[in-house]
Amino acid sequence: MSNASSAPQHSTELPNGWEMVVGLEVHVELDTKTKLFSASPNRFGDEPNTNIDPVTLGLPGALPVLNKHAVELAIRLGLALNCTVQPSTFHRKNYFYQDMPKAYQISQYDQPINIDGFMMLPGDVRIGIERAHLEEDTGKSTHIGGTSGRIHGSDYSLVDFNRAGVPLVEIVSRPDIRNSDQARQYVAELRSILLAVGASDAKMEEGSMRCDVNVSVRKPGAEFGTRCEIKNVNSIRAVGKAIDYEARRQIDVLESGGTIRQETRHWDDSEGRTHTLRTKEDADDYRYFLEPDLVLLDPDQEWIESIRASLPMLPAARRAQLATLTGANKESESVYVIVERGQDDYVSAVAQAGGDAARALVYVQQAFAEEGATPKVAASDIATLTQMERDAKITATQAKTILSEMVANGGGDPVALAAAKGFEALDTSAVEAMVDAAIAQQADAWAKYCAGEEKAMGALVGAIMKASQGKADGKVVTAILQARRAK
Amino acid sequence: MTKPFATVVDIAADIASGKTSAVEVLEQHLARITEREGEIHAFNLVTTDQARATAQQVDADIKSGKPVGALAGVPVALKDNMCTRGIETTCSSKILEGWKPPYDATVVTRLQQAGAVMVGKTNLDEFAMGSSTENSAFGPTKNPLDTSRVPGGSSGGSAAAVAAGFAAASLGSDTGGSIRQPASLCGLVGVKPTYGLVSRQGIVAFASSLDQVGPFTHTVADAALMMEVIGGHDPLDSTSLPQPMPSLTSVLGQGVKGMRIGRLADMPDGCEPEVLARMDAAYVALQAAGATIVDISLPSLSYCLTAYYLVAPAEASSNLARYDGVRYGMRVETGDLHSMYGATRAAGFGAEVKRRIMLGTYALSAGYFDAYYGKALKVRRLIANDFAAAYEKCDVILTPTSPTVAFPLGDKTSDPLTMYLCDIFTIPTNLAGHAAMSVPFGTGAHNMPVGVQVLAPALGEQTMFRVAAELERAS
Amino acid sequence: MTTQLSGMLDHFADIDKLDLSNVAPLAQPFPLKNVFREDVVVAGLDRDEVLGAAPAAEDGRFRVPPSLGLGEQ
Repeated sequence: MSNASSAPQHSTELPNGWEMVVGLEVHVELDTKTKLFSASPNRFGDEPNTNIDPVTLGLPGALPVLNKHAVELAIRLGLALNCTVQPSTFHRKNYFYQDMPKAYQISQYDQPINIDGFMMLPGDVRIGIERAHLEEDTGKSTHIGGTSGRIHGSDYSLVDFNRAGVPLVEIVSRPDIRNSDQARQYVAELRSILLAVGASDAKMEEGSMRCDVNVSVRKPGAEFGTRCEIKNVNSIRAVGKAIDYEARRQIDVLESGGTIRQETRHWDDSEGRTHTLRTKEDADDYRYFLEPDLVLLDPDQEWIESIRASLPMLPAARRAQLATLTGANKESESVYVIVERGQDDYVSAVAQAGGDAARALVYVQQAFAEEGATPKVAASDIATLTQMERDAKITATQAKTILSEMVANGGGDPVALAAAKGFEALDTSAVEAMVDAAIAQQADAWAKYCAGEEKAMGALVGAIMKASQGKADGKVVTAILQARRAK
Repeated sequence: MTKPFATVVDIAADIASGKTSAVEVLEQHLARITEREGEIHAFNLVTTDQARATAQQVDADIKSGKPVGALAGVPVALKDNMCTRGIETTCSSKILEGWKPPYDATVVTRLQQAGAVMVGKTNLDEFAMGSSTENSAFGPTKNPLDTSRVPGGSSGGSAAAVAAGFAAASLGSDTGGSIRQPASLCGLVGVKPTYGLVSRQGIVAFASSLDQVGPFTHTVADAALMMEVIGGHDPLDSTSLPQPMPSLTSVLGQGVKGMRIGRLADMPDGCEPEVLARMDAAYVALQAAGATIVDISLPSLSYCLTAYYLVAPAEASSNLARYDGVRYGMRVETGDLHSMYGATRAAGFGAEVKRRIMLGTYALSAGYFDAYYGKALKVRRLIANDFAAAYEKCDVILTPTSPTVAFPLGDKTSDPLTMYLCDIFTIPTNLAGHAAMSVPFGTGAHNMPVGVQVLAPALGEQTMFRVAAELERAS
Repeated sequence: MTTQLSGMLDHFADIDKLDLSNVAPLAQPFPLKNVFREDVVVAGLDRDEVLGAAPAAEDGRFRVPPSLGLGEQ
């Protein structure tokens, strides 16, 4: 499907037995009303420089004061990632840049608030989480002039400090990820968790979740290779593409006798490649030291436990619960989709109303894509519909039609709808009679089918469905044909 | 000893009682400014119009029976590193020349709410780095008692303003002695409160874990009143102490009977003999008032200078990094961002500031952190431990504030280390975060004033002020 | 300037004599903890007032010369 030359393959297989080692650093903006260290609004999309105050602008004499709700959200996030919440300190990370109003960023260094967590991915893959710490966001620069609006070759820059000081949590995974699928799953699951605990709206397209990817390659069992950090990865899809490209780039370098330079690279999504942003030699010495304007953050056990008790059921647990209820595999796409949409409670309600849970899962996945977490269609009515199909009062196809109509109208009585459309499922003996008639009329097709041509069944099934005006259940027809052939 | 100028306490009482008016008091102070400011240069900015407007408002409020604050009508001056909304705040640096803050420091707001009349922003060593006010980008301040001599620093302008009668009181900031040393050199009371007792919000930071704001006054009673107005918890400063502000004016008459006064057993070299003589007299006076003298030792004292000159510049190098020409202040335009930073800061900062930024950057840099900044923080722990041990045996400690009286302008400018030695007695208190104040106690060489420093443990202001009041009675 | 700085650093070597192996650093004088602010908006600064004091501004934002080479963190 893809060209060999510039676009990367999406296969998870690397050539010549190489293995990739990947770690992700994800920054998330916390969903607070105000900034981390000052009381200006934390809002996306406002007019530039309208959410500013002395602390935000780094004015002389301004002092930071920590937002308690940001701490609470950081703890929620940390507990949801199975971290240990510990006493923590803030440090200054000193460097000059136009969007750094104080010329230092207040962050956490050797004593971060959350440490030693993990996330489970499908296939029982455990990705360690080294830390998830609090820090403040920078302002935003727009580069004017030049050719592409990018920094190189621009004439000047304009800086907006609305985002400066917004609370961030930086989540650093251990380098436990071994392919791009896992990386994408990690980011998607992280997003689900963040939404579930209300820590962040985690919208990559708005910058409230940002991923930096660290990639190295090695032969299995060997030491970790030199890694490169990749920035400007702005979607989950790009995470996968960037990783696959970079791993292959590094393999190419190594196999032609070169060495990997430790550096930061920029992902260019339109070109599908990375290039050097800055090398390690250019890296700043941040001269970290304890932030003298802030004091120890030491949440007591009571607070931490009350936060833990207030956490909702997390996506993994919800999926497990839905799987148990419906009999589906907890790693199946339908389970993921339903939980992602927040519709598992609805499926549960259908089951509680006497509906067939497995069928409910299918219905909701198929028809409820736009319905959100609180669908308008009454769960009891869907329960009835599942029973009608289960009891073969209507065919699967008929059920699907009724379902669409119920969703489109925001509700409806499935029994009445079936009656109005003249839907009914023929009972088995009636279907058998129709099958016999079809076999007689479509002798050629029947002969081919008996000879092993599976495709020939299509003509038979088509004829039967037409004759029955859709009242024969397709699955029943197929089963009867197969049984007849077997005789 | 009678003071040549009216005190804060008397001015406030006379205005409140109607004996005089705020406008009249202000005009007296403005007249003195007109007469001598040209030779003294205490101010970067005299805010005549705003002062008159405030004084008129105070008088109108009193006339109409409205309640007024404890400092209503009292002329005060503010060190020019304290943000005053809409009024130039330069830190005596070219890099902030012309900058008007869009907000007030907390202490400024508290003074305003108390009805004080701000007469101007006073000169300082640039960004509070210095001990003589000779590092100001706008020219030095002269000691009003002898204009061939320095007033001390870095709050030299605030000290000179009170010593010359331009203001009844002023505020300074003290990171290594910048209130106490000028107070001593100008014959004034100067207080560095316990760290966290007075808000740092709106005070342009030099060394965040050392800086504190405090008053210059003629009398201990005035200092107590000023402290009560400006002190106390501020939710806008995370390092602000949660404890309530202790009452100071009410304890001034309680005397020192039964108190134990610590005397340094091993005094550093370099004190002028007259200074030492005044110290002896101070001990005698306190003994006569019922205190006992106890010999104490601070073994880490001699290392404090080093610790301070690593910790303070380190924090300063970070605090002053924001002066980059991007958002406010001076900018030297160039073709690219990083050369703009370099050109702006090269042109905007004076030599002492540059020196300390370089020193501080070095002390924090990779590979040197443990040897310099890291070690300095450990020395800081040692001096804190030394104080803790000493305060088991005594209630306050007495030392000279400064090893010498005010020195001539230009005397110490050629070798920074010589200048740094001015702060040998004051620095330890900042490192430990304790309280200390200087009380004028007679004169020394050249008939220049000598200050005695009273040191107290954290939140020991009440004890400290009682000793200060006793010294004042005996002086 | 360099001579003065190296002179200072020589003087500061006096602390090398001390045995600091069992001494914990003291970065802040008092062990305060858990100082917080409630998550409530407080009116901030007026953009015009702030940009009026800026060395260069355009389009509601601070204007700076281009950064060469090193980009965003």
